[in-house]
Amino acid sequence: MSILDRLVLFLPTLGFFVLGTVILVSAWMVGQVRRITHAAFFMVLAFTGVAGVFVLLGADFLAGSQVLVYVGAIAVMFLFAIMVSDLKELSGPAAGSGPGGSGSRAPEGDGEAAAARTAARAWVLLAGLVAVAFAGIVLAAVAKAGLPEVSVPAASGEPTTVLIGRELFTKFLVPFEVASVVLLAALVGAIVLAAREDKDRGLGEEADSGAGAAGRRNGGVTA
Amino acid sequence: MGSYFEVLLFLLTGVIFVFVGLGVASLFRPALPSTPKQSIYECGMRPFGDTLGKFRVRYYVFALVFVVFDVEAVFLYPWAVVFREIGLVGFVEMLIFLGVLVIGLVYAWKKRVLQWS
Amino acid sequence: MEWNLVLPELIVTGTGLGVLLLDLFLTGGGRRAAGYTGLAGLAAALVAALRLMPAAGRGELAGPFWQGMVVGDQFAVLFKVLFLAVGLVVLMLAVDFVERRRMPAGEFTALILFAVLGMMLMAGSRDLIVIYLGLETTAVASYVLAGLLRDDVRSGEAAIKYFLTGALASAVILFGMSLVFGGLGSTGLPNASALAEALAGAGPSAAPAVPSPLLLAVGLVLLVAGFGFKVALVPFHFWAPDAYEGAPTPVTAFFSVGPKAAAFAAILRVFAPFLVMVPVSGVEGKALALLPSIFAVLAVLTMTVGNLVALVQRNIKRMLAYSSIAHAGYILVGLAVATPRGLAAVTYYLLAYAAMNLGAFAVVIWLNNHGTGDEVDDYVGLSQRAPLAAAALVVAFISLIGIPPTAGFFGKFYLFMAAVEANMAWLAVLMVVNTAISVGYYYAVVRNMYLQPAAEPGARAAGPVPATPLVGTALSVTLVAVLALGLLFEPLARLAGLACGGL
Repeated sequence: MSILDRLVLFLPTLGFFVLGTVILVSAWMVGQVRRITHAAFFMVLAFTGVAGVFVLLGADFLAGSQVLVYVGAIAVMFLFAIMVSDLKELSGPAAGSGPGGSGSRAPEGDGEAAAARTAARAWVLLAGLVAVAFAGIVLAAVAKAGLPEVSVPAASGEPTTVLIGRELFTKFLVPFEVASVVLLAALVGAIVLAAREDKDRGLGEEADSGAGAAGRRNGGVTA
Repeated sequence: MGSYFEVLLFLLTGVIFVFVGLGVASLFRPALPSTPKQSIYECGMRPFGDTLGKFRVRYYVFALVFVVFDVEAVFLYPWAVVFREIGLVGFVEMLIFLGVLVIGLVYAWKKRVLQWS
Repeated sequence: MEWNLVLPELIVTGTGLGVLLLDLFLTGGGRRAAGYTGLAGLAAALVAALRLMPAAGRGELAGPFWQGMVVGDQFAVLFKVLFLAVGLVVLMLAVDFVERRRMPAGEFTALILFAVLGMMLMAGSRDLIVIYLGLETTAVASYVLAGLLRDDVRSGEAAIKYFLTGALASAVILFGMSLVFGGLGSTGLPNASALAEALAGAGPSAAPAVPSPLLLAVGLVLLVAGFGFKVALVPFHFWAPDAYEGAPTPVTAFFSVGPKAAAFAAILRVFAPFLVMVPVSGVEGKALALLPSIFAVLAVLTMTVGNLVALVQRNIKRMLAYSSIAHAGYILVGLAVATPRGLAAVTYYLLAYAAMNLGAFAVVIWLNNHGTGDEVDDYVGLSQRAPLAAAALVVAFISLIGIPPTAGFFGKFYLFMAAVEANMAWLAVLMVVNTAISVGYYYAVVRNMYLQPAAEPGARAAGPVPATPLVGTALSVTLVAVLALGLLFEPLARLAGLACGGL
């Protein structure tokens, strides 16, 4: 076996550790950066890393879907959600002083605020401990149990898209059709709840489904 | 796995190309910064308002409708690939799936969510 | 047979889609039309489900249908009937409320129907993917339902709290399911006998049918936590009081019996094989044998905390939320004893609890429709103002406490006996102590209604409260069910036993 062959064989392992580091670091950064837009972009990076792991596992269709749905659509949804929320309100009065306010330093708090911060820190510590203990238990159990041998379907030489399609439209037919109802419920729910927000702000459309068609036509916003 | 090696090569080439291009250009181009040049440029308009402004919640509904139909598109790929194999049954299955989501589209339409007012 | 088996689901889905469209195109037809359509659909689905009962009893529907994604055993059909009945009663209670509070009627009805669909899928499948999708269908519809009171900030708060904890719970459940899938080697769950065979075959000689029992055990523990969020077990309960208080009252009624019973059905489906199976040796066996102890600890915590905190509540919806938590604790006793009798007791208790809790909420909704507030103090002097409502609430509370001859008594009695038989008398005793505590907060309301004179006749009393036909029917149905489930204890307990026997 030549050096080059060894290198090529080692690439997936190397890739896994590189991607794993990228995912972990960017997931950590999501919680660390002060600007929420930056947090969203770190999340996108984590999603991309996951897509990379799918590629390493030979699940190319999943990798594609991951990019299409998470990196594409979900990330856009998050950015839109940031856009429509009142960030000045979110970052609190301390940071509300003009553009880039969320980046400004929090003022020195009085005793009460300091106590609240200590309490918050204690909770964060507790949550961290629980998380570490939990991860430890799961990892120990998985290490002890050993992962079961699973035959890789892709070994048959067919593209994974074909395998997934065959399973999805024969064996998993019922879940597939149910998925459409879940998507519909989410769509209807989001519209009905968002319409209420719009109405609250006084700019929105006529959100009341009980009003007549004529009222709805006139209720549209002209501004 | 072998085919991904080429993808990786493409990726590296793409990244290198950008940095080499910019790097070489920076060696030769003149740098004469001035105030108008360094001001923020936004579609030829003077930027106004606050970057942290609140947009209408309606935009969010656009994004959500987009997500739902993006997920639908993901289901369409494997369907199209195995379409010959699963035949009419598969066609009807997808028709039902799409039918349910079209109701969602009709709903959004009638609620004037898709209208730019 | 394949199509007959999913006929109730198809009717519910079709009605849900129809209601959405109808509401869009017939806006002038009155706000109640959507509710009536939904009621008709649920009634038709209920008939279809009831017609499956005999065949399910004969075991003709047990075979794998729809590529093993749907099962029609007695357990599935029994729970489908329960869910459809719950949906029917909730919708009856909601029609007036929705109209009065100017909630979007079409969306409300459609979402209730979709939630019921999800619940039926949870009980009617042995496949983890279908169970998860059912859970998610119910959850997505529930988040929105909680927030449908547009002019009430607390409703939005309820929705967001329910959504955030629900999403977390879904993530934990998915993680657990992925480990269970890894441990079992398939998304299809075995029944008890198949599981025993598979685990027995895991020795060195035979090919391991269950690839990794330890992985399975870890996954199951995660599922306990995930489902614990969904049914609001202590310490996963903190979202429930806020969500229950802020949500529109008919939706609160629905949450407390519908998705909760469905999650318990899923718990039974997933855990029952592991609870009643033959013990396995080794560290894997020890890990799996921990499950009943986990349920026992959760049961004690849940009923005690639920009852104690309920004592200090001033809002009746919040009080009923904690009462609902406490009842989930009682139900867990049946899982902790880990015998077929215990599982049957869980099933019977879910039926009884649905009837009595909906009865209590029916009165709250009835009074709320006539301007009575949701504070316990608003019920002062109710026996003079609305003697029927007060009496109905007393009947529901008697059953919730567990006094004979109501369904609540038989439910608790059955759980108690199961615990004693399984040599877990201490758990049974704790249940009785908790029942005694619970008398405190139920009686506080009764005392307000009967023993306190209405202080200012004009201020709080909103005049006489005539029941509308729908609310009246719903209330009568639940109260009759409270008594009938008690009188029919013998055959129903046998049915529950048979249903759980196939798990």
